[in-house]
Amino acid sequence: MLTRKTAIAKLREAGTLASSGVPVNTITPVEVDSPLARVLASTLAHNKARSGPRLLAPSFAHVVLP
Amino acid sequence: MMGPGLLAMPTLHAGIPSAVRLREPNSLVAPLAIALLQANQITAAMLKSRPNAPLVEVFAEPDERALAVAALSTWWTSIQYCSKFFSWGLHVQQLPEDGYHRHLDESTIWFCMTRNTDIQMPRFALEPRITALEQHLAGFGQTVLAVLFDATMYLPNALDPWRAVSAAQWMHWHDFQTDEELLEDQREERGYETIQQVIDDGDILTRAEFYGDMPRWVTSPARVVSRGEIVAAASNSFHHDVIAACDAIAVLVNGPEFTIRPHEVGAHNYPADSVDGCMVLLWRDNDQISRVLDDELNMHGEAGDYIEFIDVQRMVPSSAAIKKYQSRTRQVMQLAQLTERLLELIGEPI
Repeated sequence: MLTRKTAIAKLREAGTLASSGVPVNTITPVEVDSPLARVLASTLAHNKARSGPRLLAPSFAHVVLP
Repeated sequence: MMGPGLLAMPTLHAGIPSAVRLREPNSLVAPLAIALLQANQITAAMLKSRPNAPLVEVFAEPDERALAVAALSTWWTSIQYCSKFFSWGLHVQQLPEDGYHRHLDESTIWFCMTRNTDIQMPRFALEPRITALEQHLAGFGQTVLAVLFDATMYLPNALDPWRAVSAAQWMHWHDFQTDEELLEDQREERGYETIQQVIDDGDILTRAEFYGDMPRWVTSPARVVSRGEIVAAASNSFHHDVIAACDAIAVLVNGPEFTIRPHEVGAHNYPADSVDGCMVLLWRDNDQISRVLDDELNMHGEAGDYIEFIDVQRMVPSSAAIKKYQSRTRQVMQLAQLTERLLELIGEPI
């Protein structure tokens, strides 16, 4: 039986009253900013930059005929 | 033949999950639900199933969002009164701390009041009845207007003469104390020969023009006659009703339980300008007040950084903060009810 006390404890601990709890791999904003996440982000950005220009990027000279 | 293992995604690192979810919704709901539980707004009864509830409900998972919504709705309904003009709604949300779209502080939530737009915005012209009071006893109208002015300071944002004069000050008059100084400055800035050319330009609002159709005291009303003088001069039921409405406001705001201060009410607590109000108070229909308010709202609209709330309160959720907000808002509602009565008497709907 859920009481106010147990509900508060559950919300503090799990972040939700749902019995399934928080889904796995849920990360907090703090974890997003962690050193590991920064390394990952810079690795991805570095590799993305080497993937070449996007030839189909729209530009003002790009005219689509009817 | 390719084995099934080869099709699997390579693992970058044992500590790196292949998918992640941000825990966004609960930075609002969970802390709010905890605070509402602590403040006993989510009660023990709300956590239990209703007697004879359907089995789907009995076996349903408790939902903190639904509980928080139910608790806030119950409380909000409990402080409503049978209103004639005002109709406001409440919601809770997260907002960027700086008024733009950066620096979302997840520990902070905002209680926002909005005007319900399904009913007409209350609009009143004050001139006819205030002037009638003034003609009966010099100072009567101004003193009553001063009571209304004070009351609006404790209510959510309104579009009124006092906001208009402040807007006119920063949009038109700047630091100039007189129209002469203002016009001379504009003549120089625009490279005109004469002051008349500046006036003919039409987009400068001078004090003379702003106050052309209304007394100067409208924008800074004072209690110029005493209650005794007004009571002695009152001669009909309208006068007595106005006195009673002002008395009711005075009794409430001077009572020991009225603890709020003007800075605690309104949308100014958030760093973006509000473009809505709980009512419009003009001196006359289509007067200079409405022109200035229109210009100001248009300016905020064009700038794009505005809010449509009439009251915004920042809160770090806790039991004490919830109780403080509830106490403040209950007092605002009590004053709103009494102010409606005064408006009904001294305002002409337009």
